[in-house]
Amino acid sequence: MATEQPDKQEYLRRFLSAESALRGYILTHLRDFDLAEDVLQQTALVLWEKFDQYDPARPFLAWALGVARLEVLSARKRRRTGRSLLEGDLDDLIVGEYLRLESELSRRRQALRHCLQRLPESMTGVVRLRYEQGSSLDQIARSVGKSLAAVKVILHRARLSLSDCVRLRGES
Amino acid sequence: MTDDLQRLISAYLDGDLQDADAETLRGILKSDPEALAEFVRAIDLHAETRNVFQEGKGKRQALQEIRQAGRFGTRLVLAAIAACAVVAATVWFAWFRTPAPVARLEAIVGRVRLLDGSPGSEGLQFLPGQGLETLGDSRATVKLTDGTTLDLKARTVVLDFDEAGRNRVRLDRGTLAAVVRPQRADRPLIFTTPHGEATVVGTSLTLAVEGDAAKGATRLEVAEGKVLLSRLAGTAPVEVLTQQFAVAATNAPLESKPLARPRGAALVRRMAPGTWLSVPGTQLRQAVPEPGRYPKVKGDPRGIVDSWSGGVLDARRNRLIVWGGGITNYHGNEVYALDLESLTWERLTEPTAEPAIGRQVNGDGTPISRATYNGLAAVTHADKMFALGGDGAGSAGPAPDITWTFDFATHAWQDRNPSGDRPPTWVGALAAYDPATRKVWWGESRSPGNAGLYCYDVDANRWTKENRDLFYYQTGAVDSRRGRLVCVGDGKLFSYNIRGSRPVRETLKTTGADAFIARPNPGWDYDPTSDRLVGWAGGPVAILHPETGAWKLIDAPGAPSPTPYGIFGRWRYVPSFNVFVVVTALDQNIHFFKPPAEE
Repeated sequence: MATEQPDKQEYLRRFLSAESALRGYILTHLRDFDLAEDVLQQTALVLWEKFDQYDPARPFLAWALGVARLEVLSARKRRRTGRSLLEGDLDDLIVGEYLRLESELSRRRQALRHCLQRLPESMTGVVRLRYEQGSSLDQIARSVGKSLAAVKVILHRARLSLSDCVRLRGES
Repeated sequence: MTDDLQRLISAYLDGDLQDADAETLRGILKSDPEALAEFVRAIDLHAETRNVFQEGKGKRQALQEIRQAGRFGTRLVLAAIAACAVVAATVWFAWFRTPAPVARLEAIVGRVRLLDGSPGSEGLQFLPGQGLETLGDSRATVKLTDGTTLDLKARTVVLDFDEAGRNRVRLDRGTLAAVVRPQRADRPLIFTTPHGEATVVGTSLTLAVEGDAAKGATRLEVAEGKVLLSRLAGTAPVEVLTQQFAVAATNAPLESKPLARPRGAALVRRMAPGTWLSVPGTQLRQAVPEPGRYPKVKGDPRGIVDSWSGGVLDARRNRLIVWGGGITNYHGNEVYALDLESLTWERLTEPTAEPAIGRQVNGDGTPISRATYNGLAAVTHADKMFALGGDGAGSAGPAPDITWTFDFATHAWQDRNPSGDRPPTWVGALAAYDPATRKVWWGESRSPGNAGLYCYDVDANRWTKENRDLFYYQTGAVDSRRGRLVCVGDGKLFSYNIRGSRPVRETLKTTGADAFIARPNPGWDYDPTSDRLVGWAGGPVAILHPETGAWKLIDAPGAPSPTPYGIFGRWRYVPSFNVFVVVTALDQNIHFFKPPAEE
């Protein structure tokens, strides 16, 4: 036990720092919030089981993304969701971008809570339905009594607003 | 990034992408590295937004799994450890070990540090017993949990934001300005300094500590409300009311006196070149309607400035006009004017009592409140303000595409109903007026298929579309000597010859002001006296020589905190004083910047 504890702490530290990027990467391919969370947990398990094989000289995120990629493929096979728009060479590029933008993305995530607080109330309702409930666009449209097109516009504007806000705060 | 790409990404995130569009997106991502980077940023934001909204739920589920883990085999235990320990650790720290925060670091201009020497960053939560120091000329804004806002000025030390859990803020050194939310009568907010205590039940005040406990003094100025000031020695407190001040010191009588009103013109004209001036007691707040007077006008009047809104200069009357709000931030459509001689605010119009949310025109024929962005321009020859576009009250309503003018003399709004090729409007557009041609130039933003440079002939009441160039988050100013529209912001700097036959965008390649150029919606205006274009968006004032393209940066102390989403048209050149004026927040003093003398 005495030798296991530092490993576990080290694993937790490294996993914490990579968790958000892994979630984003998995959601890039799966898009279903609940399925993506399941795959993230499975990825965490595999990373823990193989942690003794991890070479500390390599970036942890690069290693973890490699594991996550296999778990995504496995989930797609189980779910028979068909070919992903982003498989193959494009997936390599996306993994590369996650590594390249790692620190920038981290700053943006830190700014997000502040930016969500500043989102206009009219957008907040739709955003909550989409991200808290995981509702589809159709479900949101029915819930708020707006047209599908109006919901798309609100979500699109909300994302633009959040993107601008996190960029500004990330820079400052 | 183009609007088309953004819409494709948004559709992809929502599982709403058609097959043909999917292939288009794939092609763009493979061929355009910047598009790929934006795609990853968007996905990451999407995932983190979900994570923020799910945090509470996730923690509860994870804890439940940990509690049940003993009943299962090794693999599940490991799974629970791996997947949940991270969350459990977070929960443990957040729920059981850490006391509740008492304040939050909202904004920093410059550098700050905690009293343990560690650097402070925006979003930081203060626990009881934690304090903050602003370094050098830096400033910081801290919000207490009840919404009270503290602006810490340069070289200020706050030792504790909730001393001993008794609703006490300990100011040890420097100056802080506060807008205090109404307090419970039995638990007022108390500011303690080395010389005295200020007991507040809800007000706007400034508290300054000078010198040490034995020889120094604490000066209290009250912009609005009532504060009780006492010495630490325990003498009877004195009431300090609106526009009064008092000084707590060992060897001075404790009494309240009226604040000397600044004499605006004299004060501003005395400014030295290359300096900033903050004029006390000039917050726009003092001109807004009293709370509850217009119960159907929703939102917070801070949105008049904060909500992506701008202003113009009424040069004939020497006043700065401010108009803004909209979305769900503020639904009042009243117009404000800062008299630059007396430095007093006037509410030129009253808000429409029952705003027509989601529409363009109120029942009384006035425009709805809006985030005005850079859609305002002073049409000097007609003595009117031009207004178009922005983001209207209610947010999901139609784009505000009516061309309005506001008469500076009569305060009447008019729907101009012009002819020609009218811009459809989208947020992030810009307007600028050319006095020589008597035209307003309009840079249209992301409206799909309709981006472009438009021109409004005020006298003919006719719009013309000149080209299909895209504008977004730039501010435009007309260099009246050369007849050029010069636009800057969001990483771009470009200009047009607006007195020729066909305006063509010319990108200006300069060096030395990249940080300023990168800011979206900066303050930006032409100074004909020095023949320079002068901008500010926080940080140094940036001055562009229009002939050589050389920048000069003036990083003078005393600048205000910039408005988070841009300065827009609230930064204007005032020819009568040869200064620039800027309004940055409802509760901040007005600031002036005097340009340096040119060599």
